Amino acid sequence: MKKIQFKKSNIDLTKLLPLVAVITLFTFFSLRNSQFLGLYNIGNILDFANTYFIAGIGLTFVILIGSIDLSIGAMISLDTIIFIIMINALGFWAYPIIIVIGIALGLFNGVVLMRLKIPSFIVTLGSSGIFMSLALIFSGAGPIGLVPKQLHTLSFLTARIGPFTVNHLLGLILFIVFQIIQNKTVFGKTVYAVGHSEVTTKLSGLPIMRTKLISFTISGLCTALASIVIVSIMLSAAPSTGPPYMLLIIATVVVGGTSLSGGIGGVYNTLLGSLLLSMLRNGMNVIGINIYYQQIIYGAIIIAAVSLTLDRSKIKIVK
Amino acid sequence: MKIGSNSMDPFLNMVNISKSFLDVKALQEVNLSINENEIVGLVGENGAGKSTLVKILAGVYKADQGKISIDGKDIYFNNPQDAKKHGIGIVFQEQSILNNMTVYENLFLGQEKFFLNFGVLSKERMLKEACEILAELDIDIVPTRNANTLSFVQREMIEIARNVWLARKSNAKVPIILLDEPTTALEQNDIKFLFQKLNELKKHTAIIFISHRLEEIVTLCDRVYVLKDGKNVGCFSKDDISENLLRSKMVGKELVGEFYQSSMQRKAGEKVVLELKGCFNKHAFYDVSFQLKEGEILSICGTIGSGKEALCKAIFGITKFDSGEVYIDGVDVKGSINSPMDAFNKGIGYIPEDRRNEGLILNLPIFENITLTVLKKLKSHGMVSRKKQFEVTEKMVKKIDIRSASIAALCKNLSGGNQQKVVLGKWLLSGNKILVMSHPTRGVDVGAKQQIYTLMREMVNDGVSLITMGDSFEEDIGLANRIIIMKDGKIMTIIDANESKPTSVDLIKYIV
Amino acid sequence: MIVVKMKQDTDDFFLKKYSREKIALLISGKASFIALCSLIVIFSFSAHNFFSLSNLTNILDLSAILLLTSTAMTFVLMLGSIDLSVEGIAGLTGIVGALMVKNFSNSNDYGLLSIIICILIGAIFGLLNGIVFTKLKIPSFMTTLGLGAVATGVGILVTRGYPVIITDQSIRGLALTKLLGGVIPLLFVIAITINLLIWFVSERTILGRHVIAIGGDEAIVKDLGIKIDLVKIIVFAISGAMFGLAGMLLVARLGAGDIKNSIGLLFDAVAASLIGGIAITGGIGKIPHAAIGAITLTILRNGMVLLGISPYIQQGVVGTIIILTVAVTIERKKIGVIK
Repeated sequence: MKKIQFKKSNIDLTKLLPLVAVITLFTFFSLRNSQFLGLYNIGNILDFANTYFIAGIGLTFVILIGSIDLSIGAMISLDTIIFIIMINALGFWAYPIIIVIGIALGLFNGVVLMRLKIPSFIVTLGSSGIFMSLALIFSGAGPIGLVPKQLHTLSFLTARIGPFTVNHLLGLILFIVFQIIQNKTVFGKTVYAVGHSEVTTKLSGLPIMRTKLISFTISGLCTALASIVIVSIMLSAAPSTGPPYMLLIIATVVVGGTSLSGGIGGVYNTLLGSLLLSMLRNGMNVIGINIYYQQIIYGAIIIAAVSLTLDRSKIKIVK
Repeated sequence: MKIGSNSMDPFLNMVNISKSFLDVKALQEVNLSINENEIVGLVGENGAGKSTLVKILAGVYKADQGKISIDGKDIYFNNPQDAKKHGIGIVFQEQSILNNMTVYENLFLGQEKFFLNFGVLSKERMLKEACEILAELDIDIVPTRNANTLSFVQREMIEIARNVWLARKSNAKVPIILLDEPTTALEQNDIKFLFQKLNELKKHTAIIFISHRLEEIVTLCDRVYVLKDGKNVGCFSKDDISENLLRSKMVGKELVGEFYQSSMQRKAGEKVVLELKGCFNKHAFYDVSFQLKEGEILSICGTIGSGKEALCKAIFGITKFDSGEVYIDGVDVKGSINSPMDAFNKGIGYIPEDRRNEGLILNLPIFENITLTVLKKLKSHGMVSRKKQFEVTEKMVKKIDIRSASIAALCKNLSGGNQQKVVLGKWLLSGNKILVMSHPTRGVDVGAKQQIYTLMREMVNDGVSLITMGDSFEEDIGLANRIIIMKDGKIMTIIDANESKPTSVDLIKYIV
Repeated sequence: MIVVKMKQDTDDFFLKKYSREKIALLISGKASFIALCSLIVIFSFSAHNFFSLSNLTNILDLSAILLLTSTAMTFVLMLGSIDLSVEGIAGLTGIVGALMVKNFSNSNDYGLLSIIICILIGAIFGLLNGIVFTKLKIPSFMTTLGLGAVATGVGILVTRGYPVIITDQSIRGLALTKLLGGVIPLLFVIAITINLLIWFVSERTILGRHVIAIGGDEAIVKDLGIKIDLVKIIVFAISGAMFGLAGMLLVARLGAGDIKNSIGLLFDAVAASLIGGIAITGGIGKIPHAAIGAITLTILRNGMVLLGISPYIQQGVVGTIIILTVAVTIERKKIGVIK
């Protein structure tokens, strides 16, 4: 009896609904268009979803603690530019360097938030200006391409086996790793606790500030990893690379069911969110919905998803 | 009703008012009436229902049953605005003056429509009316001053003026002003000043005055209502009241000690686990020194504003000690406790008064809440083991008898008593030896109360030391080995309750 | 006049308790003005062509549209909310406006009527912002981020992303006309007039006073029977209308309607408002300070260019200013938990 009841309460609508949506969308597009299930198309869907998923993992943790990171766009610009410069100069050493830089950028956001105690959307709005400046300085305000002799340092990432690439494997590994971090570590448990009730968590003797710092650092790290994937596909970078990603990464996270009010959702939801958006975009292309409508649809989806997942009992005054 | 029955009906009459919150009965068939030019006092312990009653009168809450009439006519409020239209205004403990505006803007906030010339706000007219009302009530504050430069008593005067003015504008016959503990944050001089003003104000208004300071009630009020446990226990006219009479009515019958499991009380150990020497916080308390012994229950008594809440928070690192020394197990820890996390690591725990927002994470299941303090200890191979979480939770749920279908049930679905047991369980599990408890039985039904008392006794037997702030004097007396009494930020006395229990009257004479 | 006697220590207590507000008030009152003056002095000495009449005209010209957007942003920030939809709305109205006047893409010629249409479109989006924000209770930054994206999307949809070049001289004239012997740009006059108008609204109308009150403490205001939602919706509609106008004025200056015209407006509008001393927690600040903030920011950018400082670091400087000004002016006790 006890076991059954536990299972019952474990069926969580925030986990179930996005899954149902993904399956429905998949079935719908498969039936509407035979090309949808083609190897090339599936690869396309996964490519798109993978990039947004990897960047979205970091934002998931930030949103889970009830904060937001608006600097992801600028971080992607800066990361991709530095990554290309480093690859051109140093080859494989670029990988560890970009990871360290990603962590440093995230840490910067976290430390400013912690020290100055100002809302995260202002911290990250401000820091996005700083990151963008750095991107402009490093790139000279124009696009930078990969030198052909370093192509081999990146090409393995996009080598295809069926519809899959090494990039997708990276996404899968990150999913598993962060799923474990989220559900099985003290940090992960604290993230949810902070998101649900910061005061209670604080009064239970748990480290609030450290948790926030790590969350923003993960956001920086994942953005750097996403930047690697982006460069491996585009083979170039420019200051204008990052900003268009911003809105869609937020959309990925909230559409998956992670609530802006904190504590609800997770990496699994972001995975579904990325698949959902990717299939939607791809399906709209395949069945011929005008590409110019897409920005409008994404904006509307964000509002709808936020509205559905927000826990309004927690915020008494909405600013 | 015992008194105040003139041949005429009273101006305002509240009859048979009842109100419940969830499963707690806050008011049961309470009556209150007030006449013009009268100051009526309302006294009772914390939780006796005073605030609930005035909030119903001010339209903040709706009564479950009963009726209110003014000047013989029945009236119904849906919101505070309706009450204001009948001239009823409330001055809350937490003041409603905006710091970013001037005095005259605050006076007319929300009522600017009276000062429009073709849609444009006439500041000149606002100023003129502000000067008039302030002059009439003899309040000497320049209306163009910024509200953030006002003292507490001045802010109260502005709020009173706001209510009187609004009552006039709404053509109410007599403004009725409700003052909810207006003297809590005031110095002696300010209190004297406020009383002088209230006595002048009486000429045009009716005033209901809530206070826990009996000497104030005795000097100020024409009549006094005493509430206890949400019921009327008496109404006395000026000639009859004395502090002693009110005191005895407030505390009522002494409860038998067994309710608090007094037979389980044990003598505290010899070891001093926590010691404060000359501790000082510039906003709340000064020169606080006491010792907490191993296995002792130490109660801190005092009114709101006596500094006891701030003291307990400072012990857990939520607020700060500005100076003084703190020893835990004989080791000086002052300076190394700057946050609740530090205090936690030093072996202190804290059970907050606001259980739903601060004690629990309502949207997480029982087992996640209970294991919140011990996540690190439940690791195997670096991961938090859900199996271990379940194990320790199952054990704890059985031990302290948390009634729930499953340990995976969300805490928001539990009753108040079971919620509090989850909080206690969380700290029991932490193994911390010093627990600070702020109103551990607030809003909990009688049965669960007793279980919590038993639990506290058992904790003490396991060598945990408790600092508690109870909901009533009886609770403090019933539970404690020793009782600290605080007033105005100072420790008045420490009463030993090991051998023989003091009575409520013994305590109250230090407090009010 | 006799002032009520207070004990000295109670007075001290209150001074301490509200010291942050005092600092914020002080900053909103004087510091922004001091910053402006010192910048002028510094650049006058270090950049030799800074203090020329033509450069001053240039600065006024460059600050005009920023002045408009920062005025709107300040009004919203006074509520304690924020409006991130400026780029979307201004981008959209720029395109729609450009298509309505004489242009290379079609044969329309509605002249100055287009400006009214732009303002209306902006107001409608602002209204939508306000309604979604208050009725669905989604935080304003998220609401305006999402609906800003929708506005951008509509803008892209209208011309499939291509710019619309205008030939209408009456519209171009708005940006090219200089008054008083070619010293004061008409754009600046328009912007400062609107700034003063909004100032009047904020000081002398019920709406304005309620905006300040809501920004001061929403919980208190609720008990006083003020229609909070309505006030918020109106303010967002006003700011949307001003963003709409800004979009059309950008077209007048640049000679073309393009979704990319408005990129960068948001960052500068927020920065200028914050430099003007507004606290993002609301309730503190005055509308004319938005003008001081806008001019200060423009001078900063202009002076850095004249000094030959790399234009690339400007964005970083502005970003740093945003963070630091908020850190100084924010009232932390008002938000409790910092998210």
